[in-house]
Amino acid sequence: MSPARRWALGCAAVVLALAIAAIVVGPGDIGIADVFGAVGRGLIGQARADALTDAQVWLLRVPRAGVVILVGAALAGGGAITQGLFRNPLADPSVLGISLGAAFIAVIGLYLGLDRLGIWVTPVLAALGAAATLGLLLGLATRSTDTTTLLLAGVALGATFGAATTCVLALAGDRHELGIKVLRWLMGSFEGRSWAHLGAALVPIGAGLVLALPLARDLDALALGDDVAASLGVSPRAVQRRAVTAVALMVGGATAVAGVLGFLGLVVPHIVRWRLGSGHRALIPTSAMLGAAVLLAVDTLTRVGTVALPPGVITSLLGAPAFLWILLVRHRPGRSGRQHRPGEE
Amino acid sequence: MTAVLRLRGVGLAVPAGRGPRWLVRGLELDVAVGDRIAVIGPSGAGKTTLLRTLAGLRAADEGAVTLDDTAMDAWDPRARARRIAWLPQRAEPWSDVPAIAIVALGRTPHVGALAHRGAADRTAVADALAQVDATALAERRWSTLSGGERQRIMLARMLASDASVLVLDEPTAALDVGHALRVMQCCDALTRSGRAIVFATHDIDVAQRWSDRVVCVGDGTTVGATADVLVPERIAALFDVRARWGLRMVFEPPT
Repeated sequence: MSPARRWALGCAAVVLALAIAAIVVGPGDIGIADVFGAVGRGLIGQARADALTDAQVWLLRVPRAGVVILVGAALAGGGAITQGLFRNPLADPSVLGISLGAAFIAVIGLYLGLDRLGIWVTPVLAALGAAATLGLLLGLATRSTDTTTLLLAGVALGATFGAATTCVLALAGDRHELGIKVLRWLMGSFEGRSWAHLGAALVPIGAGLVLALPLARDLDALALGDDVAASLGVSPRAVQRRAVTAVALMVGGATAVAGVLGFLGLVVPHIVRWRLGSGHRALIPTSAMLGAAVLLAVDTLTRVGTVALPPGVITSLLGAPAFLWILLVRHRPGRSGRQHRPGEE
Repeated sequence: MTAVLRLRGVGLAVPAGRGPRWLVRGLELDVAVGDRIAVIGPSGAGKTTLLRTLAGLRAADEGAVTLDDTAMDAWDPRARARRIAWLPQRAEPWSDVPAIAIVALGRTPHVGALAHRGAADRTAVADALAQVDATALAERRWSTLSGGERQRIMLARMLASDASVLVLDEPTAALDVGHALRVMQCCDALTRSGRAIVFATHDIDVAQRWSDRVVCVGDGTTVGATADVLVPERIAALFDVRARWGLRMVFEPPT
């Protein structure tokens, strides 16, 4: 069995185990047997809304775990695509301001009350924000291939969107409910996520993943630059368009349903690339699965202690040192570890 | 020999001020299997522009370019990539991949978006590495390879695509005399195995030694046999130098 397949199976098993743990952990005496019973009844439409265990498991914890899996997969998979697209291991939706761009447009929608039109409005607005930010960054990347310029541009865009979001909140000064809602959302939260949220996230994230998987070979071809990619029969502009759409759907969908979660899209693809190589056929799905596993672990940990920390805080606390480590140690020639081999996919 | 690539009345221009600045006009060139064609000219004269046109990466501003008697722009990009391979002046992977991953990129035009690379692809990659004597480099990471080894890996990438026309932009630039010699030996051997090479170079010695025909860009575009084109008068005019025949050191591979 190839290393990529071993990793895929391993990650799938870990996601399953962590999902069960995420459903079991929490207030109330709920065991694994209760989980399986409630999930079984839920799947055949027999969940008893009046029974506390069924309500807790099927109506609260299962959709929450589902949202966590989707968001983790979207951010880590989106990070893997973004890094391939920009040819830069430090390119990540949160570092480059893509998540904040998505959040800014979504917050404008919340401010204007557009979210009352339907649960799909916020994911659509967030995807548009992510796409616009990616478009700006790509425009900058075509003018300068310098890593520092790109990262600084991302930081500047993120700061601009952050400040603009604060302006919107200031404008809504007397609407305390909106302010609290937006602030909690910006910190990243899975509190109270329901089946409706799961559905709203599934459509854009699923569509993004479906769009992303056929891009793997083309992203590989971009490794040596646009000209070589074109000489291999790959249109760099077409790859950019499709990749931007996929990442916008994935990051937009994730941000809309969970807020801004930093660094997951940076660290997880880096670990997978380190162990499995740069081939995107293995990198994108494995990153998505490992991202889901990591976020499930983070979300479960936040619910173990007495103070429920927002998961966005945990991902940033873990991700920022990892970012520095990649920047200072691993982002140097000759330090990328085991790499992609043909046939190992 | 039947021409694979044909250029008829080709003009190439770049935007400049109010109108185009013509780099090449009225170029007539046939490229057939076994050809070794050098493109020379001063910096900025249009060598890369001509090579990119030959590789199908840019359209001619006038005239016609055909590949296997079909207009270049009518070719499906993937089908074209199976006939012509391109090596730019600078091409560095953004992550430190092993050499074999670079060579495997040459199979991109042969593999579908969702398909696995199969035994035929692995064989093509191994053969390509063997042809440039780089099998031992397969597992080495890019950052550990010398300039000459990198160029051989890039050549192997071109060979893995099974293309019959190899277009190379300054393949010996920045290489020492030993590495340059080995890279050009590889190119030379390829023309004897059913391929044509067209390469740009600043090195008149390289053009003299490794080509049968020369395209001079920058003096109104001259095409001809190497011995006829590379004469002191033309070189002097082309590069604004004094040129004369004389003795020079000759480099050979070690015995």
